[in-house]
Amino acid sequence: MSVLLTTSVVAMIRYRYLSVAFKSTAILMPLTFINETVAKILARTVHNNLICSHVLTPFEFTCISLTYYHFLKNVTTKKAIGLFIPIFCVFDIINAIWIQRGQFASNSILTELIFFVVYAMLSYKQLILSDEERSLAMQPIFWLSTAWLLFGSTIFLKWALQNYVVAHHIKQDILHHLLTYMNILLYLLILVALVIDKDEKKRFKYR
Amino acid sequence: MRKEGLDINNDIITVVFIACLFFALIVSFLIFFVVLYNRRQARNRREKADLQSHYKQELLKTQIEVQDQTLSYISREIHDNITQVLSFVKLSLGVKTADPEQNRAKINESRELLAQAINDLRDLSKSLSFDSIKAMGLTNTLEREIKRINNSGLITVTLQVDGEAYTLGEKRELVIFRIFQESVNNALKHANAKQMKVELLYSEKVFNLTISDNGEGFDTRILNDFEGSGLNNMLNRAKLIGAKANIESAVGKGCRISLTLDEVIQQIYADGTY
Repeated sequence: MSVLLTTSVVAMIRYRYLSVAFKSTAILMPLTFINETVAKILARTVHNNLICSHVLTPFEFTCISLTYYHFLKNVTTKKAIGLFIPIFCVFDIINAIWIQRGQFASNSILTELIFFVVYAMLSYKQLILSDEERSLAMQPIFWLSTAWLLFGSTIFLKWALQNYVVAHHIKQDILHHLLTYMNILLYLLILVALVIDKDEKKRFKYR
Repeated sequence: MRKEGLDINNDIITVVFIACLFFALIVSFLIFFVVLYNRRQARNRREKADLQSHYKQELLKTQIEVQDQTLSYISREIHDNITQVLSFVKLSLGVKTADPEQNRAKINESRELLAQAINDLRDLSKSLSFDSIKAMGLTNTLEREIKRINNSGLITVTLQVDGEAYTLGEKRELVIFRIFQESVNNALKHANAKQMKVELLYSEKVFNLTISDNGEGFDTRILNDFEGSGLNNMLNRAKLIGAKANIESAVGKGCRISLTLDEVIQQIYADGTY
C-alpha cells in the first residue's frame, strides 16, 4: 500500500509534466489506491471486498489501453485498441452482473492481463524498430511494459499453479508472497515510468 | 505418512522449479531485448554519423561548386568587360591631339568609361554568392543572380515569389541556390532554352521551388542511366536537405524541376545542425 501511495502521489504531482500517454496511467494510480483502501475497509467491516475487483478492472483496462493507444504508432493497432475499450467495459459489466456475480473478477482480470501482455510485446517491437536515440532505461514505456509483462505473466503462473497447489493440499503462502512481491514490483516500475516520463512535444520551425 | 510428506515436498519442489524456470525465461527475454535494443541503437548511431559526414562532404562540394561558378563568372566579366573598357580608356588617353576641345571630350568619355568599370567592379564584388546567401537570403540572391543572367542576354529568366519569404537555414538555401545554378547551366548548355521561369512558394508549412524552361527537353529515363549526372546530383542533394525533388521532362517539351520542403519531413532535420 505504501508503494502504491507513493506512486499515486508522484503521479498527481507530475501529472502536468507527463506526456498524454502517461497521463492516463497517472490517473489510474490514485484510482487504484482508493480502490485498494475501500477494499481493505470492506474486508474489515463486511468481510467481502470482491466487488472492488469488478469496479477497478474497467478503469484499469481503459487507462492502460489509452496509454498504449497514444504510444503505439500502428494505425490498425490504435483502431483495435479504441474498439477494445468499450467492448471490454461492456464485457466487464456483464461479467460482474451475471457471470461472476459476488465472485472475484478473474475472467475480466485474466482477459485484461492478456491484453496488457500483448500491448507490452507490441511496444517492445515498436521500440526495437524505432530510431530512438534515448537509452532504454530512459524510456518510460519500457518500464511500464516490463511491469505489465512481469505482473501479467506472474498472475497467469499463479493461477495456473493455484489449482495444482489446492489439488495437492500444498500451502498457498508461496503464491500469496509471489503476488505481493509482484504487486510491489508493478507499482515500483510504474513509479519509475512516471518519474522519467516528460512531455517532449516540440514544434518544428524553420531556422 | 512419511511417503506422503515426501510427495508433498516433491510437489513443492516442482512448483518452485516451474516458477523459477518461468521467471528465468522472462528475465532471459528481457535481457535479450535490452541487448538487441542496444545493438540497434549503436547501429543507428553509426548510420547517423555516416549520414552526417556524407552531408558535410556534399555541402562542402556544393560550396566549392558555387564558388567555382562565381569565380568563373568574375574572371569572364573581368576579361570580357572590365579589361576591354580599361584598354579602351588607356588607348584613348594615349592618343594626343592638338585640339583642346577634342582632348576634353576624350577625357570626359574616358571618365564615363572608368565610372562604368568601377560600377562593374562594385557589382562583381557583390558576387560572392555563398556569403550573399548568408547575408541576403535566398530570394534576394536569386533576384540578383537572375538580373545578372538576364543582362547577359543568353536567356530570359523570370522570378515569381508567392507568400512571405522566410529563412530556410543557410545550408538548405545554399543547396537550393546550387540547384538553381545547375538548372540554369543545363538550360543553357544542353537544352538551348531561351526562357526560364523560377517560382518560389512560401506557405506556412511548405516551401516549394519550381524551375521550368522551354528548352529541348529530354527523356527522363536517362536519369537512371547516369547516376552521377548533374540532374541526379540535384535529386540527391535535395534529399540530403530533407526536400523532395522531382524532374519532369520530355523531348521537345522543356524541363520542369520542382523541390518541396515539407515541415513534417523536416522534423528529423530540426536539430539545428542543418
